[in-house]
Amino acid sequence: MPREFALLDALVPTLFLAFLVSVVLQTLLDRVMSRCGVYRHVWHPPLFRLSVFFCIFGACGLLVLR
Amino acid sequence: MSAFDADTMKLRLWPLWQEAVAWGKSEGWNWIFVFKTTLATLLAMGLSLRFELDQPSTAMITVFIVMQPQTGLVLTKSLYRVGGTLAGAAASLVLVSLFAQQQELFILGLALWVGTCTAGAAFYRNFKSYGFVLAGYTAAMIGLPAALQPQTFFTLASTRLSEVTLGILCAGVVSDIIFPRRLSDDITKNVQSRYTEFIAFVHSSLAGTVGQQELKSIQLRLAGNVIALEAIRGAAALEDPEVRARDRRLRKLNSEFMAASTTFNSFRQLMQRLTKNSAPAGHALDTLYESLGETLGRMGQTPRTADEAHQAARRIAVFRKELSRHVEKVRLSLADPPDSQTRMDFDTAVELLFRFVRELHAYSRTYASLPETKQGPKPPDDIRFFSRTDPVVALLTGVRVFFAILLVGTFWIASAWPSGVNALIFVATVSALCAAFPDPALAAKRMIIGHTAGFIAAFVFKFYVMPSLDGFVLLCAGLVPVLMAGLYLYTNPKWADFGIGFVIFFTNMITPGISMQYNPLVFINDGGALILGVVAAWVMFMTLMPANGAWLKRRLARQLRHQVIMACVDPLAGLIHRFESSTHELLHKLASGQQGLDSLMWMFPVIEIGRAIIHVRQDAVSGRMSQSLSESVQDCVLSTARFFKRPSALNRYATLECVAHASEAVRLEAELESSCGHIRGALRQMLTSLHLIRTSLLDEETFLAATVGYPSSAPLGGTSHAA
Repeated sequence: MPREFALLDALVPTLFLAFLVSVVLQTLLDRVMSRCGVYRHVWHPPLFRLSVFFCIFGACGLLVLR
Repeated sequence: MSAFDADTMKLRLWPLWQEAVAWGKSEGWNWIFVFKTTLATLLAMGLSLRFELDQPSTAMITVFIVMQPQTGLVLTKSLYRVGGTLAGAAASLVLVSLFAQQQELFILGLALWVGTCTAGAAFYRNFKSYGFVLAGYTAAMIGLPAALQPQTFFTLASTRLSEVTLGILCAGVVSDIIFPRRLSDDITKNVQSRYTEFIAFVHSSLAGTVGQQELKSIQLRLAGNVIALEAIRGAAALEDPEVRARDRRLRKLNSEFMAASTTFNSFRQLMQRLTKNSAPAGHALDTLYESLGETLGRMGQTPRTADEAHQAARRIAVFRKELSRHVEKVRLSLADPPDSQTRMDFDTAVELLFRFVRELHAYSRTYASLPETKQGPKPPDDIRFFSRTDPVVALLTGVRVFFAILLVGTFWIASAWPSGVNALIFVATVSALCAAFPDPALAAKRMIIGHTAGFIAAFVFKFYVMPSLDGFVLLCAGLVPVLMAGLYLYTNPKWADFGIGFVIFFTNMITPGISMQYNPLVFINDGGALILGVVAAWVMFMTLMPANGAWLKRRLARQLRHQVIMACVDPLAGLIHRFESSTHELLHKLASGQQGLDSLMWMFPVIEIGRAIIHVRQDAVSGRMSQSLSESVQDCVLSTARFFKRPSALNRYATLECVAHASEAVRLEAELESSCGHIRGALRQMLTSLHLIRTSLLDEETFLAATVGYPSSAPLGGTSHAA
């Protein structure tokens, strides 16, 4: 995949797109997990949320840039 | 021996430990906030340097502005900041593309845009207002430098956007991860303290231990409390899904609280009048009055938990049943046969008392049901907080900013001042930022002092400290003490404007970057221009429509009176809640601005009469009323509206006449109609509401007599008050 793509002739990093996609994914996952009550077993929910986001973003980024 | 030592040690350490706990409770959160903000700032700076953005200071300043003690507020503010920045960038794009060659037109367009945004900011409340502010000054921040070099506009705008977003992300992550402080806790505290305070207030005012002035201040504080809950309620929904589930109940609680407090005010005012005039009904009512005080007093410790609140609600319900028996007893003990005046006074007070107990019961029940997590039943009509802003004042706020920018812009062009751009940027920023404050001139003044201090600190830091700092870690180590000092001041409400001005200006001036420029001449020129810009904004605040000017005071007083007109003419659906919420907001505005304390004279009459008028109107449409009755009620409502529009002796007299006429019509109707209990009840309620309006209008001691100069010898006919 290219590192940048042209959006209306402005170069946008592909990683930014990956970021947006992972935000969407994380939001969906967050909904599902809070519905299932996962957060009740977690010590620090915000930290957990952030870590999950990093995992998703890392995976997406590696997929895009490799 | 050693055991003895340990004991003495414990004894010695115990006060120390207690001291530490007390400190942690009061100062602890402040220091956590300071640490968190410093950390987020350094994180933002490090990442900006790493990503090679050209102005890390923008990201850092964003952190300062967005950071709040509570996580929910940070998230909400961030959302609006992103939106505002995007809108501002778009506006500056339009301005640059249209007028890049024409400085004069560009400044005119910019002034128009910032002025419009500021007017919007003054019109809306809370975060919406903040979004408008940002849209305004971001256009200036991006547009002005870009207008000088139109070729670089796109890079400038996109890096500015990335910097702002980076700052927001850093602030959000740090405030959410490290020692998060939940808004829901604050909501619980707010609701609890208000319940406690209200019950205590009712209790003490029944015992007769508070004066009129104190009552006013308590009422205003409670109004502030209502507004505060309303503000954080919206933000909390972003942070916590649980709050969203409770949202409806919180809104219900707010509305029930306002209803109960208004009824209590009317009741208390009426009682005061009766006692003052030593009306016969007053003595009879005293016993009822005391029994309510006793019930509330028996509640002893104000309920903290849901169970206790449930018990309190049950006790109030029991009291309601007792009350009706009690009332019958007292009614019998009235001098027989009671004259119509006494009977009316008594009935009105009893009606109000019943209503108050009913509302207090509802309020307690909702309060008790708050900790439950399941969604309560949907209320019949969705209760939304309604606020009314004066569009003229908002427009004038915008006009003021417009002129400030135009003036400085003209000076810039006319004098060909090299640093004029900076001055212009700061005029736009500060006048937009401060316009939403209750006293913008004071805030601007404090900011000037903060900026000047930041300027001096930045000068010393940049030219004496920074050259010897080598590398990122040392830079951080150098920045930490300065930033922490400024941020600590920010946590103190008295010094907040100074503190935030200091850190923003300091960061703005030292501009840490990839390639540092050390040029004292440029530094002093730019800094001086920035401060001059703030001073220009301050001068505008002082001269054009100052917040403590007589015009604004009159305007606010008129707006308060306008609440009654709204009660008279607006459509009835949901009117009570709309009336209550906008009146409370207005009172809060009056109280927070230090202005127009004399216009607060209208406070009690407006609350009392407005509410009574709405009740009259509701009762009038609730049953089938005869033609003549509804006509006279309509007359009465219109005449009240006229009086509150133009308070004068003549209008007051006319209103009194109309009220007397309407009461007479209601009484006639009640004699005719003997069958239907529903209509009889409505008629009785109407009569008491009308009586309440009448006594309130007749009250000489409130402002009315003073403003209107009502001649005491004027013919009041047979309708004269009992006293």
